[in-house]
Amino acid sequence: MFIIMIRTLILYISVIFSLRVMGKRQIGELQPSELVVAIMISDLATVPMESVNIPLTAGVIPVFTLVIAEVITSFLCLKSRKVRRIISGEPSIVIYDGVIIEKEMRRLRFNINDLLEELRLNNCHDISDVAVAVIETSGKLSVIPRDHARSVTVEDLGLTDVRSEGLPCTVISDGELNETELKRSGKSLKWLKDELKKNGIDDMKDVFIASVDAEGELFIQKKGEG
Amino acid sequence: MKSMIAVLIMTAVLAAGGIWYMNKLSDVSEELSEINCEVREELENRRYKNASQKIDELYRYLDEEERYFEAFSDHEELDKIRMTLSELEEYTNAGAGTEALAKTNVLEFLFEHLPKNYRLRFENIL
Repeated sequence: MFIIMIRTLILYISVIFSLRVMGKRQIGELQPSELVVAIMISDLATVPMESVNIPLTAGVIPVFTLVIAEVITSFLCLKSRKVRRIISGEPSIVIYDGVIIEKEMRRLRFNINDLLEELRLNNCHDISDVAVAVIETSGKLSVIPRDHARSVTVEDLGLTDVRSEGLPCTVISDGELNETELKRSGKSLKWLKDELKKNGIDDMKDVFIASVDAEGELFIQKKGEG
Repeated sequence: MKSMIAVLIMTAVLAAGGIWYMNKLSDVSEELSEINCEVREELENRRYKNASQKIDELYRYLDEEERYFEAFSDHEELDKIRMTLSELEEYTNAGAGTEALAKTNVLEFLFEHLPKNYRLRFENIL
């Protein structure tokens, strides 16, 4: 019983370590080789987890070997366009200037229903509104709308006094001050304390979340407020 | 770059560990076969007491090296060796020479078989 628990924990740590080594891309957008590795790792880890007759190394060594292969493959893809084309393939244009490229659709075995579904998911309901649609190597469809169908931008409207929307700095999280974020926000600790006092807060521990936006404005939510 | 360094370290550790394990397995297999040959010689000369002492030696050696097998090999292989060794011990103590000799033959095969599966050979890869 305890043996299985310990073995499971070891394999759990090994798989997490492996995914961390493979990087963030592994968790989000999966390339073909990454998908293969993800499936294989999950399967390899469960076999020695279940059976105590199989040594733990029989699960750990293949998992690490796959990580080695995957990281080396990613490195080669990064360095060589040729390798990248072989391993990940290349994006394919399926709609150009409002016209579906049937030949490419047939080659990708991508039917019209799939295409329409992906277009709807991209908030595009009319094929004639599409300037270019590309099937990326991860299998997702990217849509570039025609000029008349795209959203209006700030540039189109010619606005000059626009509120900037940078990444807010979470200076206090769950009652704890994040000094790195405070430094990034360009504000001082004294300023933060003064602002908290203005909002009737004497102790940072009473703050659930406080963030400074790109305009330098402070957002505060007290604990127990939500 | 950090990933590459981690991977290079992992590759080095796995490669070094693999080579060390193959060598260790060969050494242990050779030693076990040698003691088994001595057991057989004693049995052929009907010196059962001496054979029994050699079997104890086999047990001791196996106990010492067991952890290496258990860490990397299928546990079933080791169980088979232990079962055959136990049968050999009983036949020897009972003075059943022919049966005991047959068991030494089985053991010889099992000992030789230990490193065979792990050698870097084309047949093993396939």
